[in-house]
Amino acid sequence: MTQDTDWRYAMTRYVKGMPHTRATGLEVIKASKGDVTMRLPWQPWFAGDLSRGLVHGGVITMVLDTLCTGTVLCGLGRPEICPTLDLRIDHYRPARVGHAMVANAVIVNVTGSIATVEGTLWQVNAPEKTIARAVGSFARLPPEMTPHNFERLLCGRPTHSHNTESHV
Amino acid sequence: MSDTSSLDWLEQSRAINAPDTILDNMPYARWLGIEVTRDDSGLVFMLPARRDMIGNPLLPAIHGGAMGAFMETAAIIDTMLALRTAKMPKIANFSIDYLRAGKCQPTYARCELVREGKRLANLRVHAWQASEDRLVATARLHCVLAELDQTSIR
Repeated sequence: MTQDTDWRYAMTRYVKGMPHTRATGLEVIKASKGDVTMRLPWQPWFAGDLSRGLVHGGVITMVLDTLCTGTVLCGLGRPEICPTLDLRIDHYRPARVGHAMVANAVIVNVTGSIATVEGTLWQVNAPEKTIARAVGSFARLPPEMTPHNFERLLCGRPTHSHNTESHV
Repeated sequence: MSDTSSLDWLEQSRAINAPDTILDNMPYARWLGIEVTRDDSGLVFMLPARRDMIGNPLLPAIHGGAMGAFMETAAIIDTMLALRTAKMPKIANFSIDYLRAGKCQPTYARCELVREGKRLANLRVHAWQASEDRLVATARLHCVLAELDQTSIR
């Protein structure tokens, strides 16, 4: 079932469905199973240090948290509620004000109890320069903790379904 | 700010022990609506409950990223004011443990400067909502402490 899932559509529903990420303007560039890329267009209130022209580290945390969580949602056999256990962020260099940020994450390991995701963030003006890296651990819960309609809530109506049974 | 290249605001904030002057230099922290008060144990930071702080609309729960950003901001401001001499803390790494979902309620945070070296500092932050005995998240981080005359960005 999830083989045909339009993950970009699902991830867009995910970021637009959360008031916080909707307010920040975060958008989904690419998404396939366990591999997601998001982009945060620049907004002046993302600044964290006006005197030096730097982006607030918290904006980077917000993007990587959202991205890694989304990557777990579309990285398992079928979507599960997986609470974030922890997220570690290494800041390689400061992000400069005025430029959009892009981040990619991949699911790197899944056990019966933990899913692990790694993410990388950069700015559009210097894609070769990593701004920050993240590693997140997510708890896998018993199946009954995921509502039965969760997959439909997340993925919505498949955009490219053949509707062969629509007359039934 | 009239002179945006100067770091005078940091020394002024330290002189009068005023976190608000620091927040004025941080538009994102202002957008989050972070407020700072003081009690007998030190600074207490507050993230207001606001609809656009919500991540999971089903619970509803505070967005984990907003929680992280809040705790990071608390750590930076606390460090700026707590250091023995005025230096610019830059976060090198930050690790947050989410202990339970944060409800759509005001969230509070307190910081502890665990170790202040010449060039690096280690901090712990803990966050709670209704009761400080019931934490919603803890975080640890390392800051590089830059001399004010050497704070040009890398």
